[in-house]
Amino acid sequence: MARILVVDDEADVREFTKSFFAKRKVEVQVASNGREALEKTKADKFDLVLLDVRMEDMTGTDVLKNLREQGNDVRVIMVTAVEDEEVINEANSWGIVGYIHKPLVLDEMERIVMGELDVRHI
Amino acid sequence: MPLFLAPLAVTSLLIFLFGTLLLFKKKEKTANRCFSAICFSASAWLAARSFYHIYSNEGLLRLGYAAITFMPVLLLHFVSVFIELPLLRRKHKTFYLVGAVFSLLILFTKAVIEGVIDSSGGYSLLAGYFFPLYCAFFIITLGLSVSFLVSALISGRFTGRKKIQAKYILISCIFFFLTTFVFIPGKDTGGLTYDLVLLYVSIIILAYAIIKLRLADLGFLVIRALIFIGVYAFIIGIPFLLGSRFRQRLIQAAGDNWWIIPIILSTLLANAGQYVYFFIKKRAEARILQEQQRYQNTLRRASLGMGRIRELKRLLKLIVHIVTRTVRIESCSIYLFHEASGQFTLRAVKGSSEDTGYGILSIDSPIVKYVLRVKEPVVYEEIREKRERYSSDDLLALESQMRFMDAEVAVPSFIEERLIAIIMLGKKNSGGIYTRDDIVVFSILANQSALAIENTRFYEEAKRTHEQLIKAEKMATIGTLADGLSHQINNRLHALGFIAGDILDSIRLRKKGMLPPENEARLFDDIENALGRINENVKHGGEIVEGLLKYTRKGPDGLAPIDINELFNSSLEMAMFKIKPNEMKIISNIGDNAPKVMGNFAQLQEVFFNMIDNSYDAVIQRKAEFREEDYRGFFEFTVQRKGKNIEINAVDNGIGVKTEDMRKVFTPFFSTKSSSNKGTGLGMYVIRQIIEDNHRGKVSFESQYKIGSRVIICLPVAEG
Repeated sequence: MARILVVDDEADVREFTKSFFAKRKVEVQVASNGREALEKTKADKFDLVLLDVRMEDMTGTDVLKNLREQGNDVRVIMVTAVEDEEVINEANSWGIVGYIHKPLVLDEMERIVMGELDVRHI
Repeated sequence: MPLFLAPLAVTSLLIFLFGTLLLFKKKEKTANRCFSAICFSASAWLAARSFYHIYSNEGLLRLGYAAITFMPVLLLHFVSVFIELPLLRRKHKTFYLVGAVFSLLILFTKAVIEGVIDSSGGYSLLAGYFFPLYCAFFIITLGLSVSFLVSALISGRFTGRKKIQAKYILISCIFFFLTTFVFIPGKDTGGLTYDLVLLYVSIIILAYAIIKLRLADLGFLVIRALIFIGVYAFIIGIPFLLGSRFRQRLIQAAGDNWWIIPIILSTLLANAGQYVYFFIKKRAEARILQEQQRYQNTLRRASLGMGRIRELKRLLKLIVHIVTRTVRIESCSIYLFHEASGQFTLRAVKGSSEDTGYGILSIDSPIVKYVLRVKEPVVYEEIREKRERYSSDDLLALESQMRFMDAEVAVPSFIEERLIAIIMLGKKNSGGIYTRDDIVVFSILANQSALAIENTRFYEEAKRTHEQLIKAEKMATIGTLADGLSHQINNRLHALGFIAGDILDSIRLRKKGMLPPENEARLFDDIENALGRINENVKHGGEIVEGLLKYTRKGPDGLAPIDINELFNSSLEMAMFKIKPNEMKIISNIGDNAPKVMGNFAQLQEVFFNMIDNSYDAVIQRKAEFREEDYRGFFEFTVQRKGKNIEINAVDNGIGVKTEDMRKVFTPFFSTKSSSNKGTGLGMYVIRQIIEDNHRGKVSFESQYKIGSRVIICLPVAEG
């Protein structure tokens, strides 16, 4: 069973992503901020991390940077509201598999995430 | 030649010269020709009388009486021309004919004047058979003049200057009528008798009526001359009287050199005379000037008051008020030049002219064209007279426009060469005419008004610019919030998409029979939950938009009691789109029972937002530049009551302002913010404008580099 981590400060986003993927036999763990995300990635292994860029305590980019510095090469998809080239470039340099734009409908999310997971399982 | 004849001869000469002068000056007018003839006839009579005394020739005297016979006829002719009675005009010839017959009778027969009896220093007439008839002719002719004038005056046919002229002519006729008592047979007629004075006065009054009354200064001249003559006649008369009546006694007292006494006396009196003259003159003039001074005082007060008014509408109202009140006129209206349309629009009205229908005066309307040319007040009466004389189309158009507008005077108001406004004045309540003094006063008032109008225009424009600046600054701050705002709104949409997407997915799976059993069991609960969450997000999104709209809306003008708590919270709400709570701690010490302040909500919101925003930027900048280990930014907002004011302290521990930049803090477009989050540089400037200009409050700023800043604002507490 695939496991993904959803890092987002919006409770609704966390809850409904979890509910949605549960129906597809994908286990979803959640983190509401950067610090929590780092703890969870340290404790567990994930097939994919959906990482929100803009959070209260630290940015998604900082979390990504931290992960890589700790030698964690987990696959990461950045979730961003505004297309900030600087942010994307930096994230790319730390290694991400892609980024998605808010607001997003779930169908699209499913396509991207399941695509990634399938690739993983091959 | 007896000495007392000198004034008689001089008067005769003067009247003759006056008549000649008038004849040469305005020959084309019948009234003027009549007046000249009146002068000649009076002059001839006076001359004949003086010559009679020298030569004792009865023929000379008869010549004088023959000449004066035409005087009442001429006067009647003059009156009929003046009051425009065509009916009477045709009968002139009859009157002239009768006059001529009487003249011939006087000259060549004893039918009217039988003879002349010499008496000491004068003469008496001996009446002939026809003398009563002659007198009747005199009385009837003069009586006709008087009655025509009186009935014309009563009927109210005359207005303005014409009315006053008619009055003067009437008085002149009456004086002349009194003169004729000299004809009473057997009456001793000397050289310097009252009839001479009466005739003289009669002619002067008539002349005054004909010469334009707009020369109000003439009144001064006449009065000065009369006082001068009166005073000196009295003063110089005393020694003469002394010399002639008491000569014997003086000889007894002073011997052969008796004449020294009157000479010394006259020298003394002549010296004293000038003081008496000046004294009386001053008093007389003060009386005449009283009204003028009243105008001038009002004018002075008015100009002072006008300078203080900053609102055009109120200023125009005041001008109209001043004009109608001080001069007591029926109506007054102000037409102001409107740049955009290039015409004059009616901006303020008082009195009856409200229904003239002239809301606009175009640049080529007769009145505007005329004042632009002459650059001075236009008086209706003068235009009418001018038109009668020259009958030009322009004058005709101007006259009819002024008549239609009920305007007696149109006063232009210039600044240099620019015509700013035209002030239209209606009739005086008293029915009197506008004097030169009035016109001068109005001209000054109009020019003062022009300056004041320009002032208010500048002020209003400055106020508009100022408001636009505040608005622009506010819009600019919204720009800085755009990022935070769009993030918030995006998050709502993002969440909505996820909620809807998940539940939609469950329903679709169920239709396909692929929904896991545990989901199947709580499907309804899930749907209910999802819809509830959608509601919540919509509500939250709505609040964000509402906050933004509230912030951008101009809100009502003017000041109202405002709750500081509400103000602070709504400003903070906006600021929070930008501020990350973990970057800066916000402490508010307002208290629930803080008094309300008098203020404009939208403007003060901008002030509060700017304060929070500035502090946040200062905190971020300090953090970025110094990277202090244990630094934590804060913003503390405190409200305290101080008497009738409220003192607001906004303190932060941001980067602060360097000493050399302190004095530039309130300068527009000055900013110490780092280039990455540089604002408009208008924040502090706008705070000061809003607080000090619009709220009559006070702002001060204290700061120390690397320690923090403090903004202190004082605002008046709302009463009640």
